[in-house]
Amino acid sequence: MNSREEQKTSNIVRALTLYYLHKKCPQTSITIIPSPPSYTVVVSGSVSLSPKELQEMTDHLNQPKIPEMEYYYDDLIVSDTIDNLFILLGAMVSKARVDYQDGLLRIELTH
Amino acid sequence: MDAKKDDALRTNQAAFERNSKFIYFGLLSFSMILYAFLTTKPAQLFQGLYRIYFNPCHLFSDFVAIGGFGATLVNIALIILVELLVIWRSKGSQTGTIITSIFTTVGYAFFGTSLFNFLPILLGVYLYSRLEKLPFNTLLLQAFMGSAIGPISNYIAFGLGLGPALGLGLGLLVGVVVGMITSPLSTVFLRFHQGYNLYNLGFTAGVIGMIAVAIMRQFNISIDAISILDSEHSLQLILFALILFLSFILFGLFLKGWDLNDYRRLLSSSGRLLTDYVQQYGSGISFFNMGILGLMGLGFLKLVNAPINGPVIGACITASAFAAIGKHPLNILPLMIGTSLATFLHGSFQSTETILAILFGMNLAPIAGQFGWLAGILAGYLHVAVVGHVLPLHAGFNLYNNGFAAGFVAAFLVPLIESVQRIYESRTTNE
Repeated sequence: MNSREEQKTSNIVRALTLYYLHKKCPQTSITIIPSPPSYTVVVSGSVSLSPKELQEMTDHLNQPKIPEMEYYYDDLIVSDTIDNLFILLGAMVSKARVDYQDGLLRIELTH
Repeated sequence: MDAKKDDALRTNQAAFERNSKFIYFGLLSFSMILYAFLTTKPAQLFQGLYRIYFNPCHLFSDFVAIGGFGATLVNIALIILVELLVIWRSKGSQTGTIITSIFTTVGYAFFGTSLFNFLPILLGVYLYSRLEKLPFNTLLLQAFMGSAIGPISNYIAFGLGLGPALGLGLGLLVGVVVGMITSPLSTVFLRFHQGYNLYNLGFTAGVIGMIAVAIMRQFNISIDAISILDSEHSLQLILFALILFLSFILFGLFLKGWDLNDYRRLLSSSGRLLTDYVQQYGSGISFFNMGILGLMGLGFLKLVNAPINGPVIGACITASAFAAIGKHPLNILPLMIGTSLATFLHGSFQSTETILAILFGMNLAPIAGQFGWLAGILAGYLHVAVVGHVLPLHAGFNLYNNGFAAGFVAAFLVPLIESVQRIYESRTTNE
């Protein structure tokens, strides 16, 4: 993993961690799977989500990747507000998967 | 099956929008060239272009006054065509960021950005992408908007009296070097204002310009201020901008199938970087929003009876360009009130420099979008106060001087507003 990709992975983890903390998740699990050239981050925990929030999150995370985001704006996600977070994350990852069952939210992002 | 259908529809729409934008930009460029050749004799056009390319052009150098209206249009058209070629060759996308950067260079091609100083910076960013092994299409924003610091090449080539060979060689070399350092610096400087200044490349170019001027002063090189402003082409400039903004609206409506349902949702966004309206709402709504903002800018110029020249119309176009990535009528209004208030109290609406500060002050729109009207008005007021103070730091080499000033305003204001918010929230919680 080169330092740029490390930084990007770290930013994604920090952003998702902030989200789970903001949602008062009692316990958050983080898994990082390096499989060059791509890297996967899986975060899960119990949070309360409305169907609308879930839909918006899924839509934002699955929007097309923005090339300019990759090495320019990616640092912004660690300082961004929660409402813009998934738009920014969606713009910098190539694959996203969101599962929400029995109150457990699992977000899997690959970049 | 439905998901597959949706994907296919989205892909078709994306391809349609991409092709339409290429055609739109191409038509825009060729119309400008055609108009220039129909209204100006070829010899005059080439002489005008020569004067635009081969002269110092730091702030404020109005290309309409220096090379004529026709030559300025050709300069703009050539820059757009080069950008289209670069996007096409690098397989770049046409996101809101890229559309913004194209029209920002269009705006600045009225007063400082020329093919002469644009190309070395483009090459520098390309070389940096090769050295860092990054896809060039991830750096198109820096490649296009890095031209903010372009006048430094002109000044070294034609302002120092070094002679044609040495001056030209050194000027172009410095342009390439500046292009190479723009990308790594711009990423870091984004953190300084946390994305609340939409003109981050302007802030980056300001710092580069400041360092360059400091080095020049070590060698006892003084940089004289320039103020060449046109006063004879007001009607042409107004008509050009009006046609451009109306074309944004019509093109946007065409792309969106004459449906404006999403516009209300766009109006509720904060606009903070990176808010890419093209990604979120599509190109149609984004172009429509750009047109509306442009018309608002023109209306404001008429309202205050502002001077009309290349820089002012260029600023109006640039201000509208950022309506693809964060600005909208609701989040710019507080800024316009703040900047106008500062001008009313301490300045004059007849000053080109102040009008530019008002038009470019909108780049702090995310502050109003995120923290409300009062914060927006305060940011606008501060912007006008700061913008005049930072210009001497880079001696006008940074064309995006307002982006430089806005970086300081955002970095100063945002942590304080956030602190006040935290104190208020903790008190409310304790109660």
